[in-house]
Amino acid sequence: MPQIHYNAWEVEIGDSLHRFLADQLPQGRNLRVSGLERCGGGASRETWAFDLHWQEDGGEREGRYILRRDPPVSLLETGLTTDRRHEFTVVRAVHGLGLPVPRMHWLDADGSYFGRPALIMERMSGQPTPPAFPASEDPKLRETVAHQFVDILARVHTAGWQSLGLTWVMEPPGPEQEAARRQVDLWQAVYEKDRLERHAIIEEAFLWLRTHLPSTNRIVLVHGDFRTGNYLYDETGITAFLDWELAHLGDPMEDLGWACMRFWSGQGLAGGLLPEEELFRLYEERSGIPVDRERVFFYKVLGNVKMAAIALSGVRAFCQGQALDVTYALVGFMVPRLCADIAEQIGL
Amino acid sequence: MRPDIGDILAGVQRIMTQEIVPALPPGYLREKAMYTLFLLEHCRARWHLAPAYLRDENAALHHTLQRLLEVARDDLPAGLAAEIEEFSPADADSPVPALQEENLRLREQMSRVRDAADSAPPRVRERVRKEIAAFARKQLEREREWVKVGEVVW
Repeated sequence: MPQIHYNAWEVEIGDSLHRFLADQLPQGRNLRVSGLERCGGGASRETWAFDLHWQEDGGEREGRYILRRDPPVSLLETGLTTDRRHEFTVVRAVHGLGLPVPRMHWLDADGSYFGRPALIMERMSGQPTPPAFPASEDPKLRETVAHQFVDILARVHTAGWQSLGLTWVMEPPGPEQEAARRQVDLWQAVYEKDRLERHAIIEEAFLWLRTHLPSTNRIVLVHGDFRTGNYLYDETGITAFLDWELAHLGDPMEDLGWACMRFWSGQGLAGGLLPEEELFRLYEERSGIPVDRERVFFYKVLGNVKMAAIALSGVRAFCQGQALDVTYALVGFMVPRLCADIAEQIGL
Repeated sequence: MRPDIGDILAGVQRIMTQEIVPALPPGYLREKAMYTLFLLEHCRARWHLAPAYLRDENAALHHTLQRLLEVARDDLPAGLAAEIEEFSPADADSPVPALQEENLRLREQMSRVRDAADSAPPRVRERVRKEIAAFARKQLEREREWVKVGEVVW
């Protein structure tokens, strides 16, 4: 059981955790959770770190874990994010490719233990980054991280989703404009559902997106949130790529557009890592997939709109008292900057 | 009037900064407390500007809607055109909730005009888009100024 209780949620989570783990490890004896600690950072899930010690088959076992539970109201509730089995299955499949992602251990898909859906995964080493890689870091480390960043993306896109067993959690889009249209439909639906007021620039952007839908017949596994800020790193480079809840099948240019958005660039570098053209060159070299700059541009516009829709979902949750998290209010302050980028991009 | 809202917010910030935050263990709760301070600073710097901000925004919306009516009256549903025409702005000394209500209604009307213009002749549609774009650029300037204290930048 947790050793330090300093408020009610820790007691609640500690008790649920103990019951859940006892059922997941029926052969385990003397299960002991220690170091249970709520983590800050990401706003889309409640996150706790803990250590687990137990005995099994006459030996001592231990592990370092992360528990992620849905908040009372998710920052965004899209078809992609409401079913925790989605993220669990995708990350397991990607782990099988040998990519640096956490090993998924246990899932409480219906929230019968934790009150809300939750999953437990391996706790990986490394520190998080802000949304742009810190300018203060050693340039050699930046270069290493940049190359790994592109390598991981190329490997995800060339993985061959058909063989990953993902079709039961994600449906491939149809040919031509369907991949782009599906994303525009998704984020427009989020905007319409969650906005508390109308935003002229965002609505102009949806009109622009619908008249500029690009075509692709190359469908890949798209991470959906592939950017600096969603990986851990140490002095050796990237140790873990996280936050796969928006993964879906779509256009590979979507991840490139998102990763290269000005919103998380630093010192004029994509993600604070490397110049955009250099990123494209490396990506083509590693993946063999040609970069179509027009499609990337479309997905940059969509990226700004998507980020604004996510922020407005947070604002709604905050204003209606569904989220006990001031971060949800602060993300609303990002919207004007996103809109400034959109206005420039679509020539408003 | 003293302590006024600004005095109170500044005082709460001092208590949080000097007593509450240092007493919290490093980690999640301290991080949330710091974000809360950030929001309080935004409120302290902006609370007294809210009525003027809303009045400016509503006046710009009203002006743009009148222009849109001139441009696209024949292509708007009769009910919407009448709504825009008959709209009477809130008094200058209206309380903030009334100004907010008016703002929501005007924004809604503008979106409805744009939707209706989608099926209008190209020339009308183009002029409607231009009017809305001009409004949106000004609105963006106001919004960027509004979030200057509190904007998340990295």
